[in-house]
Amino acid sequence: MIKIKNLHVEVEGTKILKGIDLDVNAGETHAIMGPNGSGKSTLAQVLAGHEDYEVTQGSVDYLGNDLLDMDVDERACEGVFLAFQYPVELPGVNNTYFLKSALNAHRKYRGESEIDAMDFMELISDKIKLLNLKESLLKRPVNEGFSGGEKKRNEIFQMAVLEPKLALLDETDSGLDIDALRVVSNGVNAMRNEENATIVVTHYQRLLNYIIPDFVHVLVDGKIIRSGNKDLAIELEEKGYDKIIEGIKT
Amino acid sequence: MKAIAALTESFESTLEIEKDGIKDLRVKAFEEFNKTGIPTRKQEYWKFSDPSVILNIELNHNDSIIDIDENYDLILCNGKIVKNQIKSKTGTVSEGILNGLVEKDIFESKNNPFLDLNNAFAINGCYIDLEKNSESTIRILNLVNNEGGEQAVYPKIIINAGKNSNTKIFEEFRVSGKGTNFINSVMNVSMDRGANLEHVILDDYADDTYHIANIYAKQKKDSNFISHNFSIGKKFARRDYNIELKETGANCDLNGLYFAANREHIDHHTTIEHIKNNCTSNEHYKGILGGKAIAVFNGRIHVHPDAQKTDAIQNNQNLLLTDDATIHTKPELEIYADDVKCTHGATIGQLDDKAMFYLRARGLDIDSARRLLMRAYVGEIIEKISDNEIRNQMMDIMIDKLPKGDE
Amino acid sequence: MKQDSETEMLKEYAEQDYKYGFVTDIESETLPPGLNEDVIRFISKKKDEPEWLTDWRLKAYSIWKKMEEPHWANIDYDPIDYQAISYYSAPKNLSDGPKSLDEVDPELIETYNKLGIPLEEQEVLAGVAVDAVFDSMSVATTFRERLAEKGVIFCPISEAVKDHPELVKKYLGSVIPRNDNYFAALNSAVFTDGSFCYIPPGTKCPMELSTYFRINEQNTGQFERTLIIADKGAYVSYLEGCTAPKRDENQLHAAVVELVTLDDAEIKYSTVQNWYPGDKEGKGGIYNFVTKRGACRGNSSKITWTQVETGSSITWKYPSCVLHGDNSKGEFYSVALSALKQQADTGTKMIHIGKNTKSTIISKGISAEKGQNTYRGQVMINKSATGARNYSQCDSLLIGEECGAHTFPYLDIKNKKSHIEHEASTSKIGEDQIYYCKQRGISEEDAINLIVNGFCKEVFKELPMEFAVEAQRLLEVSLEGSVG
Repeated sequence: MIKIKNLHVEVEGTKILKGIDLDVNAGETHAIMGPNGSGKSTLAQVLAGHEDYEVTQGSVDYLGNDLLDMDVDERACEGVFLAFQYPVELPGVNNTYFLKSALNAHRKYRGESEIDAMDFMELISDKIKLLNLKESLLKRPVNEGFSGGEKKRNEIFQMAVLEPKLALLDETDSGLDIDALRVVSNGVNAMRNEENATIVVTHYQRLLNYIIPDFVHVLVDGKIIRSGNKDLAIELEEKGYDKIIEGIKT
Repeated sequence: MKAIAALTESFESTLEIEKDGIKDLRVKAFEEFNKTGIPTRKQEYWKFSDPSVILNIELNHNDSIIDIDENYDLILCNGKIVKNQIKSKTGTVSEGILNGLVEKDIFESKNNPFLDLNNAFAINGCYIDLEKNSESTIRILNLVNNEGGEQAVYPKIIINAGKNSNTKIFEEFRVSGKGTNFINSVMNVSMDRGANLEHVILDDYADDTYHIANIYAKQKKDSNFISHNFSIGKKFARRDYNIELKETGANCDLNGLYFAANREHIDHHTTIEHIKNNCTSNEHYKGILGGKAIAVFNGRIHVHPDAQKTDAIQNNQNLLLTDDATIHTKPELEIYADDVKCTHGATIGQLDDKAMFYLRARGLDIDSARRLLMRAYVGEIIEKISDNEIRNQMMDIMIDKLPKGDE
Repeated sequence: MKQDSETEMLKEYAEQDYKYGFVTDIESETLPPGLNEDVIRFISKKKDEPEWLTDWRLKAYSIWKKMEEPHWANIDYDPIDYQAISYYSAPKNLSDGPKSLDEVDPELIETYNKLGIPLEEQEVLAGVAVDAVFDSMSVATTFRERLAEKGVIFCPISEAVKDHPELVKKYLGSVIPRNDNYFAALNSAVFTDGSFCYIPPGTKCPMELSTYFRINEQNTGQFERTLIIADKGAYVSYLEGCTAPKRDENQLHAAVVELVTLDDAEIKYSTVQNWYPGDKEGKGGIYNFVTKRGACRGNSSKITWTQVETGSSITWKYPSCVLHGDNSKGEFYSVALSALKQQADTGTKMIHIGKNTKSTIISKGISAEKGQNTYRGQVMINKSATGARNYSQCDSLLIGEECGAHTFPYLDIKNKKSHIEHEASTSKIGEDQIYYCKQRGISEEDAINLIVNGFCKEVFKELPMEFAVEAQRLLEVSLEGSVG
């Protein structure tokens, strides 16, 4: 689905990613783990198309197209979804209306007609149950006045409605209590199938108890220094990042 | 027009003084003043405070001094230095200019007739040069003494804060003797890169005093000007702050507390010019008004086109204790840059009924309950003073001066 | 690179033609330019007015002559030559007044169709009575019978002068006296027509009343005069919407709107204003100097002003409320957009006189391109207004680097048992907000529309449904391409 080759990224002249190679196939879930400042979130942002990140080298192939050549909204309509670490507040913009605009933008991109209002309401009432979100949140402005946990659940709720091919979850577990973590994970797991793929970016292993990854990659100082299966995450949690880094060096 | 005649005569007599290195500048300033004269309420800037009331006074310039020695580092009497224990260089303005220390733009006319008038009489001004990297705490007494009769005084303080200097100034304005005073004071602050200056001023006037004060501050890169202004209104008080954030990273905090009662009139106009990018300003003024007092607050934030990433906050709160007191407040924003964060707010209200009830239910009488709440109200401003000693002193003074509702 | 695309989009927008810029060709009876007592007598005679009104106008004229044009507002424009303006123009073949839509000049109907406001459809579908003002003369009034059943009077003010002289005489100029300001004095002298509305005691007006204004004749100033009275316990919602055809010269518009509410009465007055804003150099737009004021005379009465101002090159407008009656309420909701080289100086005055009077001010200013947007407001709490409350919120949104936003709120308080709160903020559309929307697949332009509409939401929700949709659409059209 996505082939990242030798990806180098800078932010305002500072090198953040220093040659990332990563292949993710449909049906797979990959976890990117790493200490703070290792470039995990940068990888998620650069795949989503944030303008502040400058790609200086390398390529990203997404379903046979050059991902780096596409604008942010184009990538979104092609099925790339980023669940934000810090979801943005949009004062006065109704949550439902926002979601409907987004869904219709996707449909328009695919050459489909706008969704019927009744069908849309049915769709979101299905999906909202999945995330155990209060219906009242639908009437509120996007993310405004939401608690930290509500914001994160709202992200996954949007994901459920938009049904992306490639989901990027950026520190989705931060700020969630155990119950919310379970709800969010169940939501993500329910969406996993052979057609789509997920990249989970996280600092802690605990999310991976719920969203079981097929592959785990350890990102340190802009490079993937080790890859393995889910056991690597457990090893990380036990030993800490320092030990793993040391182990590589020696 | 007797007043103006006395003024002109006073001015001309100052021209006889020898060793006057700024005579030309003073003459020019007086000419500038004469172009406009004393403004009237027709001008928006003076809409609620009529300065022409001072024309009822004979504006005889008085710079006589009395023998006074109190625990201050610097004492000015009627604008003239009578005691100076500041360790770094200080002197009169003329000496400063002769030494090439004072920037001439201090004498620039800024469409402010009271600045021009002060400049015209700036022969006794006090110049404080804070050396770079220096650390100091300075206590200043700005005394106005009147032997009886009508007089005009023109105190002027020029502060030059050197690079990375770190200074705390406590300044007290005091009026002694009897008679009617017109005080036209000016303070010019010029702050070099990285300088820090915290200025606390206590302005407590006698009954028969008309005070028009102008504070100008120019700030360079990363400098930080913190002002705590405590004004207790008497007959007519007007205090203007004009702050220019001229270089990146400059910050200014303007904190103020004003009390007025009886028929007092107190007016504050503040202008913060955000000229360059990434500067911040934080303004918080609170007032308590009793009797038939009139208070005016006009806060203006002007964000220039180059001042992207400006962060400016302004807040004015007022407590009215009687139905005869009046507040005119106008928090203005003028924004010409798009990437800025500016907020301002103003509130007018009374002490919280619920809080009053709660306190009384705990056994406090009305007066004590009221004072307790007012103490909390003024405390928010006073607590911003960083120096413990000055803060405690100001707390005691301001609590003592709290206006009563029926005054 | 971002800069380039912004410039590109700005260019595209600037070159876009004013959507409603066309001229209707109707034979008009127009006075030559100039203003003097004879002109006023001519207008008065043409309208077959009683002597008291002619005298009233002449007195206004003599007041106006002694006044000076005010220049305190934050606007800058070429001097207005009042002698170069023609003060009367009326569609000639309609001088007898049409009885029904059939009698209306088909070309005029066509004009309204182009504007998307077909009268027939409105009659049937919207259930809105329309008093259409074409230039200075009223040409069509509908639903009169239905309103008459309820005792509601809704007619051109020129008709009201003849049919209801006692009401007109009692209320005309009672809220905005002739000497109130320069433009109100001018209007009092030369007003040609406008709407009159009276809702009798205890009556809820059965439909929303609306007027569509339109400036047409070249060099013809528009001097509408509107007077609405809601008697005890009455309610009316009044809509005013304007579009104007394209012109090269600036056109002066100096309307006066007076509202009166008696005990327990309520008037909701909503405006969507889209006069021609001028071109990107600021040429040719409308000068809009309007005086609007409502008097809550009765206890527990209420007046709400809601405005969406997207047009005109100059807007000078302060819809105000004088709260005489105890427990009366005044509200002001405003969205003002200044793009191109438009200048808007607008806001409100809330004068609290009665006890427990309340006022709310919500103002949303949007500046784009070279637009300058000023909020100017006054809250005055008189000594008598014990228990008065005011809440004001003035937010500005800046889009682009050459525009400006200004806030001048005056709060003048003379009562200790009053509570006043004013908040204001200035911000831009966050890049993170646009990024977030785009990541969900929404295009940049749609993202901006979403965010701007979110910004204006508190005001739009005060508008009647169909107006809210129109207002939203107007903003979108006005902002098209102004962001990169």
